[in-house]
Amino acid sequence: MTDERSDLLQGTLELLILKTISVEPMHGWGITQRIELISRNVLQVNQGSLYPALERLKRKGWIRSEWRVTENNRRARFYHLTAGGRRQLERERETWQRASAAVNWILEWAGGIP
Amino acid sequence: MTFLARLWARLEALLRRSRVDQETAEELRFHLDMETAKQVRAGLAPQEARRQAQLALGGVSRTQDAVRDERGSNWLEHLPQDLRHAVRRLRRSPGFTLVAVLTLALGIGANTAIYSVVDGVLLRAIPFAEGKRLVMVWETDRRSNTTREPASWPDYVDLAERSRVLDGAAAASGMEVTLTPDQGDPVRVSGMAVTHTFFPLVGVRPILGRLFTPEEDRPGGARVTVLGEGLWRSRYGADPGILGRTLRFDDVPYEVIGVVPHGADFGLDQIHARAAYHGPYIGTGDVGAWAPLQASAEATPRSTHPFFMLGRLGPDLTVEQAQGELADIAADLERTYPQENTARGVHVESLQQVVFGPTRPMMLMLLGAVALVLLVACVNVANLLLARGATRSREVAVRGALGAGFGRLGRQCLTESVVLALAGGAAGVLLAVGGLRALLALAPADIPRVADVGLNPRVLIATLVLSISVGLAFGLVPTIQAFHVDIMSTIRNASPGSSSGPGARRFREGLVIAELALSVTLVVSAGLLIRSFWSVLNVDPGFRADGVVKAEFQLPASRYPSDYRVWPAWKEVHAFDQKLLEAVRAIPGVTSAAIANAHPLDAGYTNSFSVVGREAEAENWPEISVRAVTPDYFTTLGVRVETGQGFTDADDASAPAVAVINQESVRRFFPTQDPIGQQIRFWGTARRIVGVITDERIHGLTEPPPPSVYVPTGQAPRAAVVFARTSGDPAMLVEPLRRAVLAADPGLAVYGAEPLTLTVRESQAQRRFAMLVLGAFAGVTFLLALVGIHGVLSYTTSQRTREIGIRMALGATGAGVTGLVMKGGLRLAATGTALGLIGAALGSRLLSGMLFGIPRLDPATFLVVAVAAIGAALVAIWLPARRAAGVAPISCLRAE
Repeated sequence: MTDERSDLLQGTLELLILKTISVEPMHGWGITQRIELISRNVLQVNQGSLYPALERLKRKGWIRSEWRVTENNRRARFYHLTAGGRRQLERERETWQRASAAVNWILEWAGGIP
Repeated sequence: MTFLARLWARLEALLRRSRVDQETAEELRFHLDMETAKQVRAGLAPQEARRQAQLALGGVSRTQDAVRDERGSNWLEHLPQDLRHAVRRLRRSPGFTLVAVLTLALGIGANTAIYSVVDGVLLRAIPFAEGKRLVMVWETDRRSNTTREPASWPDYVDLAERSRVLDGAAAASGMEVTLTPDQGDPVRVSGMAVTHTFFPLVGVRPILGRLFTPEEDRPGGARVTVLGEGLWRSRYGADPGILGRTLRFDDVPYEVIGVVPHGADFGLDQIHARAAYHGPYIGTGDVGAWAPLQASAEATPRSTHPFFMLGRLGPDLTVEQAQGELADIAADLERTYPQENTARGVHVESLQQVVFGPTRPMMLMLLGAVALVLLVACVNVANLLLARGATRSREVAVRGALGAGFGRLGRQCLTESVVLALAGGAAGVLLAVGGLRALLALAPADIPRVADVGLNPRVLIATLVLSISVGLAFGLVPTIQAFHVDIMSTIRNASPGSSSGPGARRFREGLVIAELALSVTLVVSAGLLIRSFWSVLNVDPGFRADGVVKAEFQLPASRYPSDYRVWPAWKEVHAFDQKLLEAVRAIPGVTSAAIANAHPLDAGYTNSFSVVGREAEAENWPEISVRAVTPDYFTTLGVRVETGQGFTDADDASAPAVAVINQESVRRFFPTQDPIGQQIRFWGTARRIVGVITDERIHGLTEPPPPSVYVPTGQAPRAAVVFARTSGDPAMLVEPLRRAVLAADPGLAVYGAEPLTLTVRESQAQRRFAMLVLGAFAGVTFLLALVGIHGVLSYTTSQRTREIGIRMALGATGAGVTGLVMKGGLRLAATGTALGLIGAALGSRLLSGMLFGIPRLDPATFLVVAVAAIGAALVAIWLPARRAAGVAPISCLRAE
């Protein structure tokens, strides 16, 4: 099972959090479940680093939190994006795509000068 | 964000902390519950599910800590803990703490004491409205080169009326008056006669009643007085019923119309002190009574100069503009009144310059000196902390290895040094309370506003800020050192302090050189002042003060009429003189007695004069100081008669008029002629010169004696001071002399009754003050520097024990080892001393105004201090050097 799982690159956790809650406000546990689900269990969020990361994003002003009641009638802290967070998400998405494209070019390189 | 806003946010965060922590806890609990539920759904037993959930999260409290760390480290949050830690560590080494706190207390205490003096004297706002615009308008005399003379009444009126630069002007003149109360002894009160424009000009309002009206300020106007707050409080218990009451000043009744606040006489003492001459006014305290000037050109014509002129500059106008305009007016007056105003000009000076001019350099010098004291104290403590830091490096390394962040460790170092500095500051304030008392006891009364100096909240806040900055500054040194600790090598190496490499040693030695240099600078400066004071004491004043007692008084015109129609046959004054001399001579132990119009350190007054037959030359002669004395004056004061003779009792109003001149007069006016037998004319009388006497330094010991003429009181009745010479202790004669004056006239207020040596000493009070204070600072600093050099050498020597042991095992002798250590110490001492001498050479510029009789770079002072400094440093390094020689090679090799 672990073989198919991959450690998160440093810094990508923040990108994933921003993306996940950009769809809808979510609580911490929900975020971990959503990331695992969407990544088809390839990415697993280290729960110990999730909450410090959330605190970090909050301090940077990219996300905000509020207490709401869940479907099961429990109080939980929900996180949502701010306008600044949305812009940051776009920036990070571009950076990521450029970087992953570049990595792919190298992996697909068969020798010679393009 | 401003600092305050940031601080507030942190405080708020601190207050909110528990709530935020609870929220995080709840959030994590929710997470665990959800995760547990999920694991249960996956088929685990509830207990195992919970365990797995906790493992996944990595521990609730650890996560909570991580979240809290993300929120930002809050130094306020750690402050109580850091403080406790610092206090605990300081208490663990009481010796170090005591030495450090005492050293800092010396530095901070000295600064607090001096700063409160500077604050009270220089920095506090002056009690006048828009004081910067107030100027002093002096008259000048090109013939005598005087630049600060009082003005004549007609000159004042012309200058004030014609000037456009001045927004207003006032005239004032000090006097000593005798207040005769309904019961009790008469008292001397400093009085001030002012034009009705004076109080409005300086912006002083009465605290009771009203001020003078223009009608009251005319000749023959009503006799009214405004009291000073001090006299009103001390003698009349601040009774508002004083208004309308009649007080007797010099036997003349005055109606009290108002009271002005403390400080209304600001600057008047200094104006009188800086003037070339002035009427009888002692000027060392509150002006008790004010009266309208009531001047007129008839009573005080253009040829007399009794009044000080003050002006207010128009808005945005400068002293230079006023100088230009008033000089033009003065030149015009000189053309219009050649008889009276030839060679007369004006000199405009800001009032603040007049008041603070002579004091400011001394204050700045003392501020500079205490700053050096503090620097040396800080260097010493930094050195102590460094030596401690070296032995602490293991602790730092261990704690670093256990995960303490270096930021936190640095903060703890800083907290410790700030705690140390605050303790030093608190002890320093205690020291300052005592020190300030000593300072004020020493301080000369002619420092402006010195009576108002005290430790006020502003000074205490300054001390607090200073302590914290000092703590941060010297705390930084060991903190930086702590950062450089290499964790692994320090822990592995068991011997304590071995982290101090050559770099650390060189740094410590640099500190020692610096503190020695600073202290040598101070010692040389103090030495220059001491040498100057010595030169002043060795000045020949022209009179012999030891064995002489004096007492002063003013004869009121009511009982001693100044009737110029019968001058000089004023029988009341002559009768008083005879009676007083008899009473004084009757005192047991008195060998001779004399009366004069001024004591030998009182500039007295001057007059224009001419020599009969050479009237044309006199146009360009300066005025001459006129002294009226009884025949025994020269004997009593020990003034040598150089040629000719003095006066006798026969020189009375009916005898031919005679005069005696001083040697300076001979040099100036009779360079080639024999003055004896010549006639000198002033006050409308030609007087035959019968003798020449030694110059008395009547302008002060450090000032050249002016040309003076002496006349017998029999022909110039002007009694104001009585002298008695005794073969015994003059202090025992003070009270009998005072009683003798009262026996001659019980209605007089006697003041200034003291041995003349005291008067001479007081005249040098400012110089002595500067010398003693700087000397004390220099001594303290030098001691601190010696302690510092001794400490560092002891420390480095103890670090080298192993090296020394090996050297001795290999055959080095004890003397050789001692020499080795001494050589190192001597290098430090010589370098520090050399730098200190250079510093002193540069710093002596600051002192140049305070030196007397020696050059700024007095070789003797520099040489003596250099030798003494190196000598004392040798003693300080001798002890550790001896200890080094005592190292037993075996024990030290065994210790390995």
